[in-house]
Amino acid sequence: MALRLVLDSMIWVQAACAPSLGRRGPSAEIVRLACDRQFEVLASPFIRAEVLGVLREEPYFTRKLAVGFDPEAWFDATLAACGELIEVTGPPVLQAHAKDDPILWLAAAGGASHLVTWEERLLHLERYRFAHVVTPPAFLAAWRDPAAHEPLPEWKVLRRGPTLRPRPAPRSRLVKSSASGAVTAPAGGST
Amino acid sequence: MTTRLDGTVITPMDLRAHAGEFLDRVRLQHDTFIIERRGTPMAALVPIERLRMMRETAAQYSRLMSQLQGDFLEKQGVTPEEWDREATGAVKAYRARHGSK
Repeated sequence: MALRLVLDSMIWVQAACAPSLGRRGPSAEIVRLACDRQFEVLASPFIRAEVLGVLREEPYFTRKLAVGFDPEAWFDATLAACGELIEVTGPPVLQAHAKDDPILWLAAAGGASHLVTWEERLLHLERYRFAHVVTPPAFLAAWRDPAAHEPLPEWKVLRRGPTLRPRPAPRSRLVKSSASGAVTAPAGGST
Repeated sequence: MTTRLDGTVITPMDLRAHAGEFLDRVRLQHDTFIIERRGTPMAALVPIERLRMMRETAAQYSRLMSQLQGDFLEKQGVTPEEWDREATGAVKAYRARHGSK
């Protein structure tokens, strides 16, 4: 079975910049491999909104975005190539840091094998349900040496978990529908 | 069964009763079927070549955009390390301000 990853929003933002191979960071490398169908990526509207919000609103990124780089089109195209967008909700997990919960809900509901993040609060968990919580370099190392990661025993899976909700109709310009598997191209061509 | 621009709409019951026929039409005639349950589109039957082509097109677009952004940053003198550092900090700050709870 193919590996299913949940990439935290910071991994997506890092992957938006993919310079030449020698200078590419681990996050961009993970997304490149996912686009080559080496593994599947799960995302949620929460992650999408966060990635687009950072790329469009944070001053550093608004200054550093190339002319012609459309964050929304890039995110949707990347996800269409390598994964699915699913909407999830669930019970509180991190009492003190509830804002990280949507990432964990997605990992649990999507049956992710890995949750890739730089967030220390999540990394501290080490595992959540089936998902190993790892940094991008740790994931790449584990992917290149699968024996380094044993699967989480099924009996450890908790009964009470996140629930899937129907996803609303896509509004973006290039979206892969998780239900239909179809991709709609932007009406006006690429940006 | 109704035919629209994006394909012929069928129900799960149609699919169950005539799965082989639909698969033949998809494979041989390159037809597309939209499977609806209670008026809501749930899934589609499309030729596998089309699915692969759509994914490959999306991947190429994604790679082009990332390369465009990477080249731009390189000209600006921004290193991948700096970009990664800013991304981590910005997402943490954004989540603290806008998180779901």
